[in-house]
Amino acid sequence: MAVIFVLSVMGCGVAVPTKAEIKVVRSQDMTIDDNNIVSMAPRRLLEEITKELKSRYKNIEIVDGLLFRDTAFPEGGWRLKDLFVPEVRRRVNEQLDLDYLALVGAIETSHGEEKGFMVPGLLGALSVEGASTITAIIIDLRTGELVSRIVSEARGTAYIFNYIIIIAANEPQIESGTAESLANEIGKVITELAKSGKTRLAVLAIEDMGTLNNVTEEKKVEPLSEEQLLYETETLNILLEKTESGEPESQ
Amino acid sequence: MQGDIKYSFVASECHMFNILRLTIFVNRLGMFAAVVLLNSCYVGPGSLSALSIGADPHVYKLYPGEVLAESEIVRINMADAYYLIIDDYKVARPDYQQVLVLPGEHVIRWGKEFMISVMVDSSMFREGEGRAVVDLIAGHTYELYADRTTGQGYSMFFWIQDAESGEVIAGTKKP
Repeated sequence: MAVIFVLSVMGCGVAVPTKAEIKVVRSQDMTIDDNNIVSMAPRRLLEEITKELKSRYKNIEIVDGLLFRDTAFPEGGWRLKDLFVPEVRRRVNEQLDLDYLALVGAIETSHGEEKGFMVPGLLGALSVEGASTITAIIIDLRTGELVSRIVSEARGTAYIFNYIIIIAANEPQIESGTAESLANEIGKVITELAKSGKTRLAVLAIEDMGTLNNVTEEKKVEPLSEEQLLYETETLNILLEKTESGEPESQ
Repeated sequence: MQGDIKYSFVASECHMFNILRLTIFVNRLGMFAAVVLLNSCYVGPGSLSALSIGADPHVYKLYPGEVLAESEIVRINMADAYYLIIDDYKVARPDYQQVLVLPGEHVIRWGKEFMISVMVDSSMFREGEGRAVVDLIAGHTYELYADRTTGQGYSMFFWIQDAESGEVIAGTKKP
């Protein structure tokens, strides 16, 4: 009781991390878009995955991502499709002796509806469900084949309890959980492919050029086809004729 | 599931950010005082990350080929920008605080999310973006700024400044 009293006076918030429910799926359903580029932009995510791989899979040697990018794309551009050019792969193999490339997609996080009640400044109990997904593809740089696609998903529910100015909450580790399980699955796939032998892997990100999840993209205005142009012109002409003749419909 | 979290481009775990989301969530219910206390007294994971504010920035080499001398490249400090898209390559400040590019013409977009008083805007947040086509000079460092005026009818300002000379090379500096 004394503790609650002290906390009430001081004001206190505590968030306890909890484990998330993890689901990992492998598939062969893979497509490469012309806009896909190989990137080092999500530094923290790449570091987390690399760290996880290094700690769990001693048979996998991680090659520096920036070194890979600069070796594979000395002229820049960093377009993923260029990696499938045999000459590019040969250069990477000769200079880095690299076997596999794991390309990690953007982390996608969403949350559900808030459930519960809250009387501001007095009492409350709320819950909200969250989910986080990351996709990765693995490329065999010796053969130039897309080997596997891995989708890692983590789900969890956050609960928030409030009593006057004390707030206690749990924080499901959905983002770190999904990154960790993705790294683990990448490690498993690479180990299976390498048949438990030593192998070299680079981990980078795959992303679309010029888009951030929170940035509204400008809509591109597509040029009209000849047929559409003819139709639009005819419609305009009809409307103009009606306007000149004073028909109310055209107003 | 509904309602995508706006910050999903922040690619990896960030406990402090999750707590911010949590506070926004609670804030909707009018618990402003409790939220301030939650932030100030938070003792969970990530609470020490505030101490790393003065640490060395993470630098993103966004030009191809070998590492070049300082006099041959351009340094861009994220400063106020929460994200930067330079020539279609995107960078989020939680990942990198500085970007290195080659001199010459670049198309730069940078954004910031402003906290707005609930008395002015019930959403409490407003995102703005600056866009500029700039000719960057080798050996120079540029900083991306964003600021706003306060109160009803507030305005947002976005500008790029030469770090050494203080010259505004693009956008409008907040008066």
